[in-house]
Amino acid sequence: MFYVNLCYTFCFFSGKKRYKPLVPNVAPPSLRDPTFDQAAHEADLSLIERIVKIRKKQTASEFLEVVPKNVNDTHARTQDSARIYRRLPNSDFQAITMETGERFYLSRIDEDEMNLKIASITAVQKTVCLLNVPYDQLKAQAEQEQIRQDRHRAKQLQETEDSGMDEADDSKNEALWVEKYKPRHYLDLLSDESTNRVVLQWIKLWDKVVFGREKKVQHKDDKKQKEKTFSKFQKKTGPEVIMELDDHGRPTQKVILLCGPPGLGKTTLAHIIAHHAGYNPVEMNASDDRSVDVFKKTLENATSMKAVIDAEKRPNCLIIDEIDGAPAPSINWLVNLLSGKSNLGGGGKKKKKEGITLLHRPVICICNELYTPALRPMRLLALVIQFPPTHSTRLAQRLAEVCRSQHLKADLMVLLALCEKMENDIRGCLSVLQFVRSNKLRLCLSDVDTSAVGQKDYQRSLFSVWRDVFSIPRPKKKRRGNPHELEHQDGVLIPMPDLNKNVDNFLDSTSLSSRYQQMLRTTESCGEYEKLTQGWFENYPNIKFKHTSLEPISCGLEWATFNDIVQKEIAHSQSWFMMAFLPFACVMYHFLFATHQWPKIQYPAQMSEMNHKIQKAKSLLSSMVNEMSPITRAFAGSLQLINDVLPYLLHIIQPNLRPVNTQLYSKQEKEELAGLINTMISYNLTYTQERTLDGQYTFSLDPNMDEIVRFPDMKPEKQLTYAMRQLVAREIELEKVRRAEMYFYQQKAKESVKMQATRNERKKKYISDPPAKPVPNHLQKLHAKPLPETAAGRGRDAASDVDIIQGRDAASDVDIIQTPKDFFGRVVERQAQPEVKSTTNEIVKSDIWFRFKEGYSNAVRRTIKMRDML
Amino acid sequence: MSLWVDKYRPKELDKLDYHKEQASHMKKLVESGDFPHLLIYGPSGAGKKTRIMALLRELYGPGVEKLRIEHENFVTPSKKKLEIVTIASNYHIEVNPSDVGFYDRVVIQELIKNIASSQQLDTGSQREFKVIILSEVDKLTKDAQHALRRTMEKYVASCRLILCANSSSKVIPAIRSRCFGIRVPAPKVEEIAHILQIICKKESLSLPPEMAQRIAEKSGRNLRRAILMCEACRVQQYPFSSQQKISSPDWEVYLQDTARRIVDEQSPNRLLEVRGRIYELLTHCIPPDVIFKGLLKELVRNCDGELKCEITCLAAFHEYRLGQGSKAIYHIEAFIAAFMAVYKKFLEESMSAMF
Repeated sequence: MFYVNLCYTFCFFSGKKRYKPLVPNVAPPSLRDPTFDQAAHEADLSLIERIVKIRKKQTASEFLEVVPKNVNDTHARTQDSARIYRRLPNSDFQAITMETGERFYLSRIDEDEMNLKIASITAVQKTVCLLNVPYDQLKAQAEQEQIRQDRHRAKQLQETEDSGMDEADDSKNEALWVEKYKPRHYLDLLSDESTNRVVLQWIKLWDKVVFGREKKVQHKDDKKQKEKTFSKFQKKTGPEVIMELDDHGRPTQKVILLCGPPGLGKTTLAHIIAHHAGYNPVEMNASDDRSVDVFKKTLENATSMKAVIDAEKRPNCLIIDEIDGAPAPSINWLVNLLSGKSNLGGGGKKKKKEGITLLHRPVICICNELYTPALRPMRLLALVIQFPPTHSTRLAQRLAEVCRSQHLKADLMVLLALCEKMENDIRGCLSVLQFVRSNKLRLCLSDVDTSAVGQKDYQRSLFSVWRDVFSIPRPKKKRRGNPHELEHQDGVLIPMPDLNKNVDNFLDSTSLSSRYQQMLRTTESCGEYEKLTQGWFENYPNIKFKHTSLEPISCGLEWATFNDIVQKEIAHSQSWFMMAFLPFACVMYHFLFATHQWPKIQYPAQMSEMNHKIQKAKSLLSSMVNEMSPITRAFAGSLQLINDVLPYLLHIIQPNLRPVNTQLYSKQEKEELAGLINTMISYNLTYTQERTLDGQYTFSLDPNMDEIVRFPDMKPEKQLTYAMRQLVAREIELEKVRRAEMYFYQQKAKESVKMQATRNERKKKYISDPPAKPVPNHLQKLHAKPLPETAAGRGRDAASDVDIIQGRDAASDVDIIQTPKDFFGRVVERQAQPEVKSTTNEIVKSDIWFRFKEGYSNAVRRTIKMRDML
Repeated sequence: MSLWVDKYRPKELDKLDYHKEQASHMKKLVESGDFPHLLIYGPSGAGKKTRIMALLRELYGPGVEKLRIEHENFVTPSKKKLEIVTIASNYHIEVNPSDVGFYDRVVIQELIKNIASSQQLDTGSQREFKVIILSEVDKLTKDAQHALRRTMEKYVASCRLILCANSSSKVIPAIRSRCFGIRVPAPKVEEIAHILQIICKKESLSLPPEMAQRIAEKSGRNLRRAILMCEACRVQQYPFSSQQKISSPDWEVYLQDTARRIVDEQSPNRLLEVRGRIYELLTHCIPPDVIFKGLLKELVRNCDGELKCEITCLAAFHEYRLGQGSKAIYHIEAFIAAFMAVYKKFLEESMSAMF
């Protein structure tokens, strides 16, 4: 009995304990979300406190009732403690003897009564907690309050669109819509159908190499018919896949190059097509290291993997994204792989499978800017596909689907406007939608119009800028959403901050100021002002003019010259700040020349072609000037040559001479010819034989001044005949040889004169016979015959006689004309003469010497000078 | 050396055929054995070079006629290697800095300074200064001309400069003031005719006086061209007949033809056609300023007094801007378009005045 009582008290207390922590627990319903911000949390707390207060007030009366109960309870407890008696109680009791011998009597409570009591206690316990209101109830209420408040706030947000400081909870954890709503199948693709088909067609061509499947025999006429129907309905003049396979069974175009502005779904297309055709797409993009080595490795890993193809294992298809950013060596390497190696492996058909370096997996390359210089070699090889913009209606429909699934209310028209603004960039559209969705549930036209998103800052290509220069932008259709809606929102709406400050751009794109702004922006985004001006310069005459006055042309050209001057100044003084003045010329061109017609733009090549020609002409001229004789050159600079001399010179060097042998010329004719030759040599002109394309030989001027002097539609001057030219050319050669020889002998003579001079000096020392006055060397030689010398020579004549003659013989073989000298430099002739005269007079006199050599021919040997032969 | 131009070029100051007074002045100038820096300017074919060479001969004797060609190499600050050709004798050196175009300043700074700053070795037997001839000074960039200023003053002890230019207007005043300017005017028509007669006599040809007169007139008082014309006529036909056709250089005919087309029609199409022709001229190395001059000459012929003034003004304006810019075709076409606009307006106005 007693223990039950104890138990009861214990129960009471423990029950109390259990409920104590309940008070702080009331607040947390809002704490579910850990990221919940503090302000809101506090607000919630205060709210709940308020709720509790109210509740307390409401239950005040109850509480009052409860309090006496509590009092009773405590009283009961005291009563309980008084249930232990020393004496025998009145009611039933239980006697207890303590160890000290004391005896107590516990009054006994009936079990039913006890149960009843317990029940009543637990009942009290439920209602009589610290909060007075049950926690569950409280929690439910708080939740309800929370939802109510959220709803309220959402409503508020919808009304007053804020710049997005508050975030809605749900969108936070979500994946990007771009990722979420990515097409999963071929049929989901938004890009242009014909493009998709071409890519698919191409990748299917690889089937033979990769899967070993024979390509389905495609009937040519069938295909043609298909083409015909195609061409009838859609005028897509896109690139055609060459259906033929090369000798390795690979398509002739080894690689496909997709290019187009960002956000059209190129990468998606590549992935889906690869997947669709049964490949495992391996992507490689700008975020990867793309040095040659890594590139090579990846490529080899991806393409030359020769694993057995089973059901699970798909062959790889390499997708190289953003290839325009890859370093040129890598691209070159890839190109080599594509082109060169395939030529090398021209063996049997089976062999190609063994070739490690042979590419036999499809490679898809993706780029934004096709005309990157590094891509040039690839362009030639690849099947280049310019990605057409997605149809805005298709895109808008897809966006509408997305909106529906995301519970974002959006009009189709608004979506269309969005597409247009984003220039059909799928990714951009989805991002905008997601952004809007995070703030509110409805997308309206004003959002699209006022938002600063969608104006991409990518570099404009030259052609697009030229096109903009020459065409007036079409007025965009004014789209009005629900007018009521707009009106309703005008008061509350705070437009997004527009970073570009040209809101009116999109409201009225045809106004002059917006055209000005637009043009300026476009030009600046391109930046190649020199090329822009050149392109304008070469294209403006081809456009149709509205009016016939020439003032605009004149004005435009003045701007071109202005640009030219500024550019030269920039280059010269390196003052780049003046670059800021350059884009305005393009704006002027636009205002002066823009029409509504579609301009046909050609790349400006004339200027560079002209520069090339000028360089050629200049080098021709300098090749002539460089070899001209100094005296002629001193008086004729290249300027004078061009202006005055050359045109007449070409007349002058074509005199009327008879085309006969020069031997038959009269004296006057000979003089004339000599004059001609002289002139031509001094101006470094001659004729050289050339073979024309049709196999005829002609003699043409060399350097060919005709090219510089003659103009295209001038009547040709009379030309010398072939024979005459040949004759002149020969004469010039001869004359040159003659001159060279003359020069040579002059030099030699000078040397010998010098030598003789030194020898004479030496001799003078020997003889110690000082010649008083300085006599020119050549005169000295004549005098050098002092008598004592000969007398001394007489003494040894017998011995020297033979020597001398022999020496002469030897000398005569080498050179007869040169004055023979003996060892000391004395002129031998003088010395020998008296003696020889006496003996072999005839031989000495004669210029020619005969010497018979046994066993040899009896030819006459003699040194001859060129001048004697010519 | 057998073009008549070269063959009969007078070599001494005494033997010059015209501007004899000036020749005697020049002779006196160098009599003392020294002279200041000279700026010799005058139209093409007036005999500037001839006078310079004659002057040098007066100074140094016939040795100056022994010319040789030397190739000088130097490196620009941007490490570009350049080569320029000089024509030199033992006593003087001739350079045309505008051959290297944009880098002419480097030529002035390196080459000229080098030559100028080195002293003559043997001053006993030679003059104590060398002579540097700079041709086409008016084509020098402003930078180069400024670089020249100080050089001229600093090395005056060891060298003399003879500057040769077509017009002194493009030479900066600082240089002009440092030089003794000698203007060599173009010879008169009669003088040219006379010289032609002398040459023909030497060649033992008989030149009818009317013919000589015609050639002289056609040459535009350019003696070089006159002599060349005469020789070309001689080759074409001898004995001369007074009605003989005297040919002009192709480019001149072409240019005149171009001008005629401009006057004939003023439309964008014609402008395009003319552009092709201008390109053609430029690719034949005809300098743009010559094109300007030739066009203006022809165009003005078709204009009234007031319009003449306007057109000339336009041409001057655009030619000046051409000097500032670098792409000749823009400037020439700008001038042509401006002319077309003005001329068309003028025609329309006169038409409306008539009716």
